[in-house]
Amino acid sequence: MLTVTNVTKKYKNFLANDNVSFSINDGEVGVLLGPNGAGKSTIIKSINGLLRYSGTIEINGIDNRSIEAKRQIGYVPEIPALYDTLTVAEHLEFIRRAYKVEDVKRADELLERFELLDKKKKMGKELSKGMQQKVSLCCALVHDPSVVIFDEPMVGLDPHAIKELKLLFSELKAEGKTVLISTHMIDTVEDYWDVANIMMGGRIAATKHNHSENSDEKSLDELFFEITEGTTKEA
Amino acid sequence: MLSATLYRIRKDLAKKLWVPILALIAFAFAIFMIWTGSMASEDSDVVRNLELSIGAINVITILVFDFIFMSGLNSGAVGFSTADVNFHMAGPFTPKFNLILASGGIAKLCALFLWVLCCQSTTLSLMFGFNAKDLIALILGNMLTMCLGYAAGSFLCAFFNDNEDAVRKVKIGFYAVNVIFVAVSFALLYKSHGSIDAIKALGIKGIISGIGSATPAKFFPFAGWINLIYTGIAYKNSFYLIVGIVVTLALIATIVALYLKCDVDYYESAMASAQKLADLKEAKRAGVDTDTAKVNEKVKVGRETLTKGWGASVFTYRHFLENSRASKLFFINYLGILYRIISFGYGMMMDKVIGMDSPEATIVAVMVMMIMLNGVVYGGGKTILEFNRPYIFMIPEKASKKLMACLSASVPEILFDSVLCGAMVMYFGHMGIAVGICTAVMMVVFDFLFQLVGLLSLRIFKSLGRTLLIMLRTLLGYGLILVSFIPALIVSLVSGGVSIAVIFAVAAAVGAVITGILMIFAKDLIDKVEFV
Repeated sequence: MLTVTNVTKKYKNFLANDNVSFSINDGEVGVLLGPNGAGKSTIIKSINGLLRYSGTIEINGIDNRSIEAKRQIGYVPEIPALYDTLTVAEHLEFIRRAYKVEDVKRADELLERFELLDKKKKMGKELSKGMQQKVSLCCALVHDPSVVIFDEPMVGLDPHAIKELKLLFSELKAEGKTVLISTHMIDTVEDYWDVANIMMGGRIAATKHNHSENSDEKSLDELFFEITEGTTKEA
Repeated sequence: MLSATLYRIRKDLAKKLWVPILALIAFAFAIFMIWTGSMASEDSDVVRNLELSIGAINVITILVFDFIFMSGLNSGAVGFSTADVNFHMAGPFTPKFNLILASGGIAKLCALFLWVLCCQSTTLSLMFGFNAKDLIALILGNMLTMCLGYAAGSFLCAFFNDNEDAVRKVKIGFYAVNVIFVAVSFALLYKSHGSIDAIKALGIKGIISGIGSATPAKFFPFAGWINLIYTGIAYKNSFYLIVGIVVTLALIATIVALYLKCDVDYYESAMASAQKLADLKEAKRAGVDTDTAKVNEKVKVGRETLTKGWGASVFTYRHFLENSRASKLFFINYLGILYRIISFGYGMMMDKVIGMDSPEATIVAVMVMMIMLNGVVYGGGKTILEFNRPYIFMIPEKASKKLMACLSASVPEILFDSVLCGAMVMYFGHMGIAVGICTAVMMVVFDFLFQLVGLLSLRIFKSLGRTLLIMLRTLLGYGLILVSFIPALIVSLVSGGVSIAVIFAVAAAVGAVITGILMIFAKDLIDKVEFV
């Protein structure tokens, strides 16, 4: 479970996140929606312990900056940050050893799933952007985290990889993992989201649940455009 | 067109006010260095030798021309960004005007080189007996040579854009001019001195004087023609002066005419290189430093792979693996070796210039050079690059453990490099093993000090931007090393002089204390630095 409570992040005079609070339960796929500059990446980085902020973020009830919490997080950054002279297989081996994962087969399973087995010996610098993104995805999953955070995961992926990734989201959900996806492309998440937080100007402008029984409620699309075009509303 | 460009530059400068301020400070510092340099020649017992001064000015200018012309020829169309391609090339600007824009990039390099030259005024004055007029002539002559040399090189690059054969022929011609110049100069020197031994006996200064002031140097394209003006002024020779002025003006007119009259089509290669530049920028944003990317270009996967490390220690073994791939041996840092070669060359030169009578002075000069270069190598080492990727922050280990794992990966290369430094000091100073060991220990301490200053700068100066951060961390590192030497120098002054080994040992001890304090501050750095 991921709980974000009253998180505020300032860059000099710019308020990137203003008192942001939301939570995602186990077995739920949460999405962070919002236009460019809404503060999605900032909150994602804060959750991953990459930024300093005020407020509280907990991973399964533990402070996100603790070692125990770090062990439970998997993160796919917006821009893949691979090591130039490490091969694809070595990237996964590096993460496996760093996270002290005994299971050596998982890396190969992930590589096979994302069609990277034939690229195992390619170095980071030799991969295309899409391939780098796939390696980044595998690195985030190699230690079998219980909370997986994706920052714009579809960017640069080919249709097959997008299909595989969508399937992966569903599987993670079925396994009871907590999934958070940040994106500004609503159509990519419409099939499997459980809770959507729409960000605007560093704040959560609206929160919408997918299992709402109220048929009069606006669709996620409608709500998003209503908010981003100027009106803030609780759904 | 021009006003739009100037507007953009003005807006850029308004956003970065520190740039003009820093430029003003740098300019004032350069003037000060020229002034102190000219004082040095007056105060010292170096006898002014006009032939040597003119010769040295010519040789320096010829070397500068060679470098800048080749830069223009190799990358004339490369000085464009994607913004230039999108706005200028697609906009209502002529290709010739856009080509001038590209020179903005090289102007920065020229300014930096001239500033470094100004900072070397004292050394140049002591070596060649330059007075204030010589220094000003050297700076102005080099400035003009760089501008015209780059303009000519980049024009040829653009003109022969899609003709590799033609570019190769231009390069062959360029090398031929240099070879002929060196051959004829040495032939003349041989003719006037009669034997190789007699030439050797002249020493470096004598050879520079002989080559630089001979007729071939006066005919050397660009550099020789431009320097004829000062040769005329210095020798009060109106013929040289007039010929120099006429040829230089003709050269300027020719280059302007080439730019105005010739059709140049270079957009395709400019776009390709702008894309390369954009990719490099993106790589830098993602954490891959440009210099590292260049070093990594030729790296290939070998038989070795990642088989060691568990938890934080995997950082150490990953660094070893990357080092092995880059240089075959995990304890060799290519950049460090390159800088050691530069230090050795500098040491050889200083040994000749300062002379065998004062090995301590040579040691000091070599030591300063080695420390300055190591500030660059280790101030921006691989541990700092780790902070450009999320892994060091996210891996579930104690911050101090991860930091130590990264730092310990640099131990083998620091040890190897420090042994080289010790050996060099022993060689140049004709000193014993004690001095070598003290030097090596001191360099180990200073290298770690540079690394820690670099790391702490991430916390203190990160918000100031990359350029200022690098500048401040380097200055801070040098400052702390100066502080390390103060107690040793006080001991030396009070006791009326102590051995070099003692000075280095005391500096190493004080440096170790400072490094220890920095280590305490840096211990939990990973938890405090932000990954932006």
